[in-house]
Amino acid sequence: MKIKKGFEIRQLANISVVVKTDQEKEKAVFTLNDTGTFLWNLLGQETEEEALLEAFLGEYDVEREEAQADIREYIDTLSAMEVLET
Amino acid sequence: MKELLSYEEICLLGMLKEALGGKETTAVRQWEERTPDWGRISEISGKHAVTSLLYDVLDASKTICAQEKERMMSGCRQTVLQSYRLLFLTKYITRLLEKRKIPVVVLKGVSTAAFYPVPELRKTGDIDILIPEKDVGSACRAIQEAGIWMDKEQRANHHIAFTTTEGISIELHTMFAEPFDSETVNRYMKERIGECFRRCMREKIMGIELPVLDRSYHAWQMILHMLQHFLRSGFGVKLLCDWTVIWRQPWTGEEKEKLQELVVQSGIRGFVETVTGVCVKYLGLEQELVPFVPAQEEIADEFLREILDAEEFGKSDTDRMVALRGTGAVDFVREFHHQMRLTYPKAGEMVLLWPILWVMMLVGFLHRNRTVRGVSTWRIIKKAAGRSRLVAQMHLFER
Repeated sequence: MKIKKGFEIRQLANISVVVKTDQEKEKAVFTLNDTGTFLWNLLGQETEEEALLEAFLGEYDVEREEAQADIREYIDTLSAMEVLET
Repeated sequence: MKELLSYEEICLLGMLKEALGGKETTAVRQWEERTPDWGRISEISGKHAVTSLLYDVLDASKTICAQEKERMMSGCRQTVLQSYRLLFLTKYITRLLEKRKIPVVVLKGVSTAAFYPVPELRKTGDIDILIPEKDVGSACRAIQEAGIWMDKEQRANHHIAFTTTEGISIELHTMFAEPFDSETVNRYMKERIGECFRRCMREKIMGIELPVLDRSYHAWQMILHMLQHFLRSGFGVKLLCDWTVIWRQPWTGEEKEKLQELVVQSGIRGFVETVTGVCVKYLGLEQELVPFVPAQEEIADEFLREILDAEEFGKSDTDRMVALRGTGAVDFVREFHHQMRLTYPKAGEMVLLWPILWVMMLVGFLHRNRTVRGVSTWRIIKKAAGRSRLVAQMHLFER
């Protein structure tokens, strides 16, 4: 899976803003926290969920089960927003 | 003798100079050498809507306390999100009108933000769109059909205001500014609207393509907007920042010549030179970029003091209402008549009604001073006279 074309991420003022440049008005902008930005950057290229988990565990001090659940939720959210292509 | 600027004001202007990203960004950082009252800086920058521009300066500062820093930076983050909200709403509205074959140009806010090193950090409160007067009816219908309602009370003669369900204000302009106290200038402004649409261009702003004015018309609109506010209750430092960053764009010689023509023909060269003088002296604007001679330092100083006192759009005091073009009794009478024409644009066209309208205007003015503004009429007149001395030096509307 990876991020679909048409999304741009901008990091400024200590926040990450994702902009969908071809969309009108609503739901064209959303923000990400630090961990969300980390995962987003990995999803810029074709990646598997397992690879995301390993990279995440290498970066953050967190239990495997907790990380796995958070990543699944993150992927589900992005899928629901039609951000990911699989 | 009282100093022109407080230490905090000097620091704020120094920070803005650095934030706007000119050549002289390695100037002395006073605020790092002697700790200012950061609470006061936060207060002043907030009142002038420029706090978010300071993001990088705040981030790098060693003298600001953690709590104040976080408070100010949190405001910066809100500005970033608001900028995107307005950007996409602007895109939505312009597309909506363009689909109906209505020519549109985005004014002020989002289009001016594009000139900044980080556009998202310029605080913008509303959306301003210019359309031809003949298309007002169909544009209003299109916007209302999209579920955005026209404001019940319309306060200006040169735009129609709408408000979205989220509370964002959209203004549909048919002119660059409210009519001034000069028929010649008003006629000239009106005549130029057609040309401004012909010179309009499409620019990518924060990733989104929008129709905007070319640089000459953009700068002219910017200065007319400043003048309009200056002749009323005033304007704040943010508009000076706008004037500084627009000159760092890639201007062509033709665009500069066009702007000179627009400025001279509208009789506002004295005002442009004064604004430029302040920006050169305090915000690092490179004099060689601007085709106007900056005003003398004393005039620039006096003007800056006036701007710092005004806060954003002259919100600071209820006794700030107008600045007259002169200091004599005739100037007061002329301004009173001009205000009557603005308040009653249709009835004011009938000369026979003028005596009645003057009385209505005077009664309304005195009544509002007592009940709404809570300030004496004498104080308002005194303040107007003080500000008018500055205006008189600009020889406004003289070609």
